[in-house]
Amino acid sequence: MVGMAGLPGRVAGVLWAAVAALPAQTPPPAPPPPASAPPATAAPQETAPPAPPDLSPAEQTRLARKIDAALEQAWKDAGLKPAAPCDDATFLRRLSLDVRGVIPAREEVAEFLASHAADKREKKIDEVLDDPAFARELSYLWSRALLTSAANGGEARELRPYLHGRFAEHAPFADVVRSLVGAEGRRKEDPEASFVLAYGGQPEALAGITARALLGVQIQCAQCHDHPYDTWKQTDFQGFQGFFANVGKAAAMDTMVDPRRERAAALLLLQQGLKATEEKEAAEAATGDGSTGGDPKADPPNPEPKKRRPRRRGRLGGELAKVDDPFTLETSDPDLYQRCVSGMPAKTREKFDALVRRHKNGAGPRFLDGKPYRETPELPRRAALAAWIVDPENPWFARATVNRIWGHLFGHGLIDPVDDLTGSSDVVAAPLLHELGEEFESHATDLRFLVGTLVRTRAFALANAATADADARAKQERNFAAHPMRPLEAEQMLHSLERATGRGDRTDDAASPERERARDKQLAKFRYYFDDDEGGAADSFEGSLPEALFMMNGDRTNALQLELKDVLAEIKDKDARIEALFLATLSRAPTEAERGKLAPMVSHGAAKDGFGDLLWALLNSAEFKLER
Amino acid sequence: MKLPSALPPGTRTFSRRELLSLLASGAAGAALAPSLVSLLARDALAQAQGTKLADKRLILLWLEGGPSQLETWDPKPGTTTGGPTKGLATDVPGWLLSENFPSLAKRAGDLAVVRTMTSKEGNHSRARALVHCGYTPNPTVAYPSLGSIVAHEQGALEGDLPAFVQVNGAPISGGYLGIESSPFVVNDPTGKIENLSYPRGVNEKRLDQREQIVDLLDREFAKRGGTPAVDANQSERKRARRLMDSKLLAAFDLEQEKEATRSAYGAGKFGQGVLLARRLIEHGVSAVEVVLSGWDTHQDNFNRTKKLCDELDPAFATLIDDLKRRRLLDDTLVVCMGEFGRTPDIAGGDGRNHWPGNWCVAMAGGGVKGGTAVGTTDELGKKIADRPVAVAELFATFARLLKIDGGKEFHAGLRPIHLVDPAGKVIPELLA
Repeated sequence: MVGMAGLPGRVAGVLWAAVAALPAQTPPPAPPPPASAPPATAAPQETAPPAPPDLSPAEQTRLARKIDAALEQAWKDAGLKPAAPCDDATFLRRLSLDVRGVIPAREEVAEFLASHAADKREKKIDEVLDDPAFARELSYLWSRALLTSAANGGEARELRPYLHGRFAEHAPFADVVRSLVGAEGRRKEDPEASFVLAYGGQPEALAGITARALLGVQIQCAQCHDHPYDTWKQTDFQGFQGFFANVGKAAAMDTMVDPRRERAAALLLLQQGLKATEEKEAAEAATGDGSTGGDPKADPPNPEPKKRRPRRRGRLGGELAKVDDPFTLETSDPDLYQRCVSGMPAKTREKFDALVRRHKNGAGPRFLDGKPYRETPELPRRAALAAWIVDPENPWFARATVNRIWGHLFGHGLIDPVDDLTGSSDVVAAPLLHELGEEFESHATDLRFLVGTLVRTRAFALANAATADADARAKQERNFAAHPMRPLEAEQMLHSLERATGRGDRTDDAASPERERARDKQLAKFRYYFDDDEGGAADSFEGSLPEALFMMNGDRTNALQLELKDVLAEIKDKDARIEALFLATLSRAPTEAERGKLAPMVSHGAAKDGFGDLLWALLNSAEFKLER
Repeated sequence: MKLPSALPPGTRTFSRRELLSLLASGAAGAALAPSLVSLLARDALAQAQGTKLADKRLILLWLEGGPSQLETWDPKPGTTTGGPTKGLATDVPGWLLSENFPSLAKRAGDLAVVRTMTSKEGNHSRARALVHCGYTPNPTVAYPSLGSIVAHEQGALEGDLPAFVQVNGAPISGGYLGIESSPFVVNDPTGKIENLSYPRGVNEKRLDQREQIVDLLDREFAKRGGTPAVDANQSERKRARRLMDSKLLAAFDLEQEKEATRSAYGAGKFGQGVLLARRLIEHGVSAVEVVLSGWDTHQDNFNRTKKLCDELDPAFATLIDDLKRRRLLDDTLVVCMGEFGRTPDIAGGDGRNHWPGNWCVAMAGGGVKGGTAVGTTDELGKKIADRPVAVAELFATFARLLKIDGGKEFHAGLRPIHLVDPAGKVIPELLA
């Protein structure tokens, strides 16, 4: 954490207190908290380090069986018959898309289908969780959650590679969140600051997205008015927003705001502006042109006063000496205010406005659960907020995280929408989510453990609903008694198309966050084709016209069929070729009906044309474009 | 209003009034573009089949970045805030526009300007969402933008061409109105449209063969429970194919315009985009948004704004003339706006900063009362002296002019939402 390097032990002390508060957390080899730190819940230096939590596959399975029991009871109570278990091909494709973000390679499907091992699904789960692509998929998921259209492009682009790196090193999620929320620094040197800087200068946006994405709490509506049927008040929002008052556009500082220094700084900027205005007026008077205004272009305002920076005391002469509160000057003395700001160069004006904004927004940060917070130099704002968010006592964080991951794997959250926990009172889902939240906490907020647990449930391995009735189907799916079909997300589509058409290193194409960065550019385009809106993939199958044109006429489905060359070179039998192309795209073997009907349809022209047409058609089929 | 399914795909529609006026002008021997004449014949056929017709269309000229009101629609020449920008008398007595609008000043009789728009959003992306969609942005609701609303309510969604086309800029999705109402983005009005032509080595026959395989695969998948996805996949692909094969694709071909027309709109991407907008409207597209970026003039405001006006002024003015000549102006609402205005006080470096306090929207056609200026600002343009107008009022007026029922309810997110914010009342001064 680069941002911490420049800070004394005070921040480390705060973080340490928060880390120690996580029962299952392996403690870092940090010194005991300094005396100035607030009393920690435990005295870490005297207790033995807690035993590391059990994150093994067996432990994941144990918890998965608990989830099975809860869901089975719920199905029974609701009179629902769960769908049949899904077949191996469906399971592998689903698992691969959800965990690695890409369909399995043709060879992998063939091998998996051919295996008769009783534990092949268990083994495959272990394998995909160890795949470097898992960290990449998590980075997509969380950068989607954390970035909205209000984010500033440059900073926002740094977030996903940063997350990718942290997930690749198996950082506990609480640590990642603590880094993001408490980050200090500048974009280039401090990538963990990319989240707060992505909303630099917009404390209200930061407050809203932090509450929504990390806590599942929708307070942003209370920005303008008290929430109509939730309990949030406008003052809650303002209090929460106060934590972010010190995030600037270029740099995120988390030092305590000292009111006296802020006031002095503001006065100094006003003084600079006033001086420039006075000099300009003097120059105009000297040329004998007494007319108002003149031509500002002919005489641009003097930029920053020359090298000599006016000292704080003694230089505040004249009218400004009498000004008590520079932050209300605009209303208390509009004329003086105008003369000051009109002389400011744009940069100075921005600085001044930022100070005023911070002053206005910064009043009294308050936690959402009503816990008191008093700012001290030892416990600056965002460090305190970060510690509060990941504290095991936090009523929302663990549940919000579990619910989002659940939504990623099952199509919708235990409570839906995934980022609105307070809106629901579902009697089945709410207690289950509560329990899973506690398990997530006691397992070191380890996302690999959480995902591993959920993909081992019976619900994850159910087939799609067999009924054609839309309502019955929806009911089954909402209760996780059948797995939904859903369109591939833009990221899944890009990687799956690449894999199916054979571009790139097929075994290990997600190992390097840096290499993936180049692909982020391509992704921007894919999002236009394949995503419905910012922050979330389409949940209906309606496709866009640009998507259809891209799939039909684009290079990817036409010119770049490298996989086809391999198939034609490796395999000579026509039926086997058809099968290989099915495995490469739909991750399953063709049915007998498909084999029979397709054989005559691929026989025209040269093999590369006939089978090229088949590959094109497979990529353009409804089945390829979705996850079953 | 959606076209009934009885209408053959690809049929472009005219309003009754437009059709009559076209027929009248044709009979009178007025010069009509040949493409229009052939369209006319087909549309007469559609009329005979009892088709309901889309009445109103929208062309939105979006000025990205927040244009200075003082250098455009609300100049304050000779004041401390006005800067070096001079005023220019218009053909409406007593109404000044900035000197940056020499062509538009001569067409003020067709223009309506609200000079006293006001909002609280001074952040680009939030203000952009507010002024595009008519609602304060709320992350839990994906509001559609004005173009999508028009496309959804007026558009021929079953036609060959997309109902809503955007030229330049980043799109806002159709939101809760669905992806069919999202803008189809054209990044270069003078270039080829991405992925629109047949792939190399694939002709119509081969594409048919390929699609037959897809049809087979989709049929098999439907049998195994994939029906909703299959239906969507089929209709999406058919729509794409219809566009690829459409005769109306000529709408995108600016080469078919006279050189004089093309240069009258301006040679840049924006001018050519506005010309494209006119062609698309003629060919049945319901809404076109053309984006001109660069108005975020924190530095060097006067020169930069003038340069942008040099693109905007001829394009907008020529569009008015052109639509009028083609008798399309009455049913085409042209709106020109950006996300907010800029500070009356001139900052160092001749810049103006963000200013949502008072800003301007200009309109023409579509039933707007020409020669109208709504609201006045004070002498220095720092405060609204008379008639503040909120974005919701503007949208209520758009809905009225475009014959859209803004009270229609949609379920998006947690609660029902009105298509247009019911908080806004129509601005009566703007109605002809």
